[in-house]
Amino acid sequence: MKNIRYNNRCANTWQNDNVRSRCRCDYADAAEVRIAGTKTRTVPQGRDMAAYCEMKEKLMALYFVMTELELFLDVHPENSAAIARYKCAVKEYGELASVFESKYGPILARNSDCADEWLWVREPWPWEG
Amino acid sequence: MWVYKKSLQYPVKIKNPNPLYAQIIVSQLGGPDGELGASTRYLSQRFSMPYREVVGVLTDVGTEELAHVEMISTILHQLTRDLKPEEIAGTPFAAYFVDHTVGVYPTAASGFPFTAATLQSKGDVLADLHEDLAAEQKARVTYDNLLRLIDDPDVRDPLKYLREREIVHYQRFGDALQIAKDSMDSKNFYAVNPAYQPKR
Repeated sequence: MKNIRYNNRCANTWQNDNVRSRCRCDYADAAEVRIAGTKTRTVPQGRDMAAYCEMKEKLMALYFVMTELELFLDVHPENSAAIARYKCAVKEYGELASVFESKYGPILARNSDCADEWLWVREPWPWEG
Repeated sequence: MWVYKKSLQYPVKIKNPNPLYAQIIVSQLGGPDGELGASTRYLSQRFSMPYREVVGVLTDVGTEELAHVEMISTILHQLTRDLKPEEIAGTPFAAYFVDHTVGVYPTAASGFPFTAATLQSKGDVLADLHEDLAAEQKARVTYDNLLRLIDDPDVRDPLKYLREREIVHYQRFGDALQIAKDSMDSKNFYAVNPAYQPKR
């Protein structure tokens, strides 16, 4: 199970793409939030920003692995190798997502309840920048 | 991005087929005040909305409208799947049947196919939010009209639920409008074009 690598061809698409640089750029801009009038939470900056982007990209890659395998399994529902890979991706994604959300805020609205405040509307939306 | 959940938002269990009901309910799928247009409107408006709380409302309502698209489609499917051709002939549903058999297709009750011409994304906070408030009221009236024409309790029950959601959405858009107004520049007393202010 541990031998399953996520930096396969699919995940590499993310690595090789300009996602990394774009991600940094987006959140660098988001640091000086252009949105006026409403309360906003500090977004990751500096060295923390690099860690933020790295974890976020890893999550996107893992989620894409799940998406791709779900699509494949829809038409190959008895492929045990794909099922094994899928289970592994789900587990790894879940673990990493928990860490990410505890540090940087919710990916899913339902995971906002760990604070006194509804963080869901305090963090940037994905298209901000 | 989105995640699909294999569940309706509210149960739909219709025992008796009815071509007339299908012919009028289809308007809440692809009609001028239907759920598909609602979802498209809200999810599109988010990008130019400068207040994160308001984006939250647009995202959540736009997403819920997709669940309503699925509910209306389920109602249409259950109303038509067991119809025999002789039960369709001579009813207003016959024209739909010729084009779509008993497949689910987004169209108005009038037969006009789904169009984005009945919705707007203006890129302006107040214009968009007022559009949304009006849209929820128009959808509520459509459900009122459907409930005036439909007797079957199996069909009325989910329609009543959907009607109530329009009312709740109207309330939340009202709250969103208040947040937007409170967040605007106090000098902008006449609330003119507060969203689009390019830097010179």
